[in-house]
Amino acid sequence: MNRGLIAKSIRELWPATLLCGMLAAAFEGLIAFILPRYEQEMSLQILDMEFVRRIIEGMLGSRIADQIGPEIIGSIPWAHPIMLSLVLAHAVICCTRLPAGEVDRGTIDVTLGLPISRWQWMFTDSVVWVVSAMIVIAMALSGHLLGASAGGGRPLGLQQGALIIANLSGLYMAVGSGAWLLSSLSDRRGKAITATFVLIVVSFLVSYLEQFWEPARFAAWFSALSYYRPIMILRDGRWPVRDLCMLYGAAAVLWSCAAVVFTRRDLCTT
Amino acid sequence: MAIIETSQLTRTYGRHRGVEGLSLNVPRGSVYGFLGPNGAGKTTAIRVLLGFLKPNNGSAVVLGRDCWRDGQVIKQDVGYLPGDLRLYPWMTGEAALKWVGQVRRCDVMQHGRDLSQVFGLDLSRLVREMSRGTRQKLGLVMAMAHKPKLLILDEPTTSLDPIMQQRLHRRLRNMADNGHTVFFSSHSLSEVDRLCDRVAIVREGKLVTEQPLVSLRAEAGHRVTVRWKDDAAAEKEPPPFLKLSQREGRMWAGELDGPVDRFVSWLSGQPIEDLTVGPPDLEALFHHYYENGGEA
Repeated sequence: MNRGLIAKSIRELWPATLLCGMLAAAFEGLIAFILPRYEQEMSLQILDMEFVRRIIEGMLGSRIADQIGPEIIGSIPWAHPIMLSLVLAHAVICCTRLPAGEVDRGTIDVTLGLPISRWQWMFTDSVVWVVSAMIVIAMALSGHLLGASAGGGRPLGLQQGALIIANLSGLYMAVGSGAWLLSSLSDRRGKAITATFVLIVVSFLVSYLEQFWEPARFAAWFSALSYYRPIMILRDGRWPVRDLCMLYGAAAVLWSCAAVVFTRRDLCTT
Repeated sequence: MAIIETSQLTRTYGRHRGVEGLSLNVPRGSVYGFLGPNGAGKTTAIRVLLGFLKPNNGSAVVLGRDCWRDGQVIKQDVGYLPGDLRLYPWMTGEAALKWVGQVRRCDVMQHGRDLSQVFGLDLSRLVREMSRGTRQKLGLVMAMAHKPKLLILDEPTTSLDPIMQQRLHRRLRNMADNGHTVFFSSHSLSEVDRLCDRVAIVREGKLVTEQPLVSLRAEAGHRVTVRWKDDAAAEKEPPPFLKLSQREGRMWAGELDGPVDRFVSWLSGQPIEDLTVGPPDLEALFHHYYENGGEA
């Protein structure tokens, strides 16, 4: 890895990492602090309403059946659209920088004019990206633990925490790698961000609709969010092997495709 | 030995023209001018040489290596200034120089600071606060700080003031005298005339001519003015190698095609009162190449 490239990536990623991490920590902390106070009320009253139950099912991406347990309440902060938006926004910001962002702002000529291989650049940037992703997720987890302990709730146990982090990281990597591929195919960062955003929204929608609408179940196979189900983890306490394989497998394939495209395509400011 | 060698290099963008069948040979230790009007394919050729674009056809070899496959190795000994220079806005000049050193894995600070002094560049300023000319100076310092064997500059003087242009020219001449090679694209004729040893002219993606500047000068016509002593001499037919543009009374003015000595021989023994022969008119020659591709 190249020290200069690492320094540049860190300099460019830390503001977004800090911002997304702090917001995610604040959100997780707040929810973990507040939720226990309403847990009983939600269980008894709100979730008895069919419409609300459906909305929560859509949000969690799972059927919650009849029993309303603490795992549902515990999984809400991890599947809440705000939390997912913050984490996935970080992935999109990081992964559309190279090459689309560099071409777009015209800096690719200067950097590629230096003695680095494209592969080296992509690999270095990816390592910094993964580390920054871990920081954002770790900050969110810290926020949750702090909020739960301050609010008198039940924080995630070690195993539950590990399972949720692994699942969330898989989702993050899959979306980030997809954004990277779109960025590799594009010369405009705006286009890459828009395309990724559209895919995320469609994924949200499919994952939401599959709870109510039969045809959406087939499409759910292609939706990354269908493989992120914190409620199942909290309820079963088992590794979601199939979901993890799908998410990390997709991430590996998409990232490899992005690397192949990036190393082979023409690159210069337009 | 050639430091850049391209053979039948072709790179097109769909229907758009890039370069077509470009064959160049840039000798080591020379200042090589790459001339052409806007859109002639100069930047495309440079981008192929740096491995940014893959050629459709032909070959491009820099420092004995293939440009596309061995780009990383080649660029260790190459300094490059893009035509449309954009730098990271959050960097200061000092940070940019340090960053180049980190990426290149060599210490470029001392030479970089020396060059900054030559160009009157304040390294403590942020790139986003720099004027275009100042950014251009920083780009030049970044390209030259590691003392590259080959310096590729894409229209380097565009936003420099005349004094800085002069300083840059002196620096480039000095580099070439010390065995470095400078390859620079330009559409400024006076710049090429002052600086280059050898020139290639491209037009519509194709090489029109490639020769030493000395040969080009010999090829270029001279502006001449003759004042005759009597009317009879002034009324005779001019020689075929002199194209008259003005003929008033006893005065002839026109452009000489070919060497001066032929005209001087023709004039010998004739009643002339005054004769003026201007320097080679490179501008007219370049315009001729630009507009007609060298065809009469």
